[in-house]
Amino acid sequence: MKSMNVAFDARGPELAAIASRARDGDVAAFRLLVERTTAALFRVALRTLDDRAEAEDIVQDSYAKAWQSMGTLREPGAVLGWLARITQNLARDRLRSRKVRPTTSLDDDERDTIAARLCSADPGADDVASDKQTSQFVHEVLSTLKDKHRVVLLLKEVDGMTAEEIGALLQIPTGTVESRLVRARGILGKKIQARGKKGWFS
Amino acid sequence: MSTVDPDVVARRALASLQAEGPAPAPADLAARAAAHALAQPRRPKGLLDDVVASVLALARPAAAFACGTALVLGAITLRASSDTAASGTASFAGAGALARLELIDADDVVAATLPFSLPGVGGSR
Repeated sequence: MKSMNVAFDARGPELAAIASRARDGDVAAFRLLVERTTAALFRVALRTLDDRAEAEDIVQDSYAKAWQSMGTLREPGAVLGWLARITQNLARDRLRSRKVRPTTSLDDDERDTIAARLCSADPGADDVASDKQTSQFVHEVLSTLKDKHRVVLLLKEVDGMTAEEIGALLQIPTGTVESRLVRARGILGKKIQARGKKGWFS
Repeated sequence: MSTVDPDVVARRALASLQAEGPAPAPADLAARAAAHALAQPRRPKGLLDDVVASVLALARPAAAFACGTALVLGAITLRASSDTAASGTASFAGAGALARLELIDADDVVAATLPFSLPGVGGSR
């Protein structure tokens, strides 16, 4: 999949200069900073929450928080990571405040059928149809993963970001991104396999 | 009953999501977010910010020194005794020091979402 370069489009000395001006209270620079980084923050929020409306709320709250604390930004060159960290923290708070796990319209028979297809030894099973039900099922399983695993997996597999880009965005080493990806895939596969045995993912 | 490797199962599952593609942010989100943010009062840099920054400025090199020392001592011990446990201990100590380095980052203090408000400290909600 082609890399979307979402992280790297919003980096560089130019962004650092903009952040520096925004830190000094320049409203126009802050607006520009928001314009240049909204796409990246939205992805972080969306991949954490798996809900577009909530992700939009979190992005707005992130910039409000950033503007209030802008004067304490020490390294303008690291502003994207600083913003992404704020977004992640707010999104995690939102996750914790959710009372119930989001559910889909799938019933147990449908879940069993999809899980069986994904686990089949039939070589034809590799050609998994990207139908809506399978997608719903996979999102359902992903919602049971730790958010640190789910986020890197979705940024990589759905948004097409490289490990380096994800690391730059989330401010974690590339090696950590790669190890989380391996771990996340393993957990996801095992949870889907367990579906046929236990009837649920946790 | 599953008959394939979990990694294969995961790759098949994730392949079903790739058709979704990257999710673009709504076109007006940046404008809305900027307007919402700029309606908030800017918090002036407080005395505690300077205190925290000063403490962190001292703690960072100290933690780095501790990390480096642990790794060097571990390597020396390992060389002297050929005890593989020494390496593990040094790595553990080094990892601990690095983790502290990450935790004490001043920007983390600002970015952290605190459940209460403190005058002069960022991250209040």
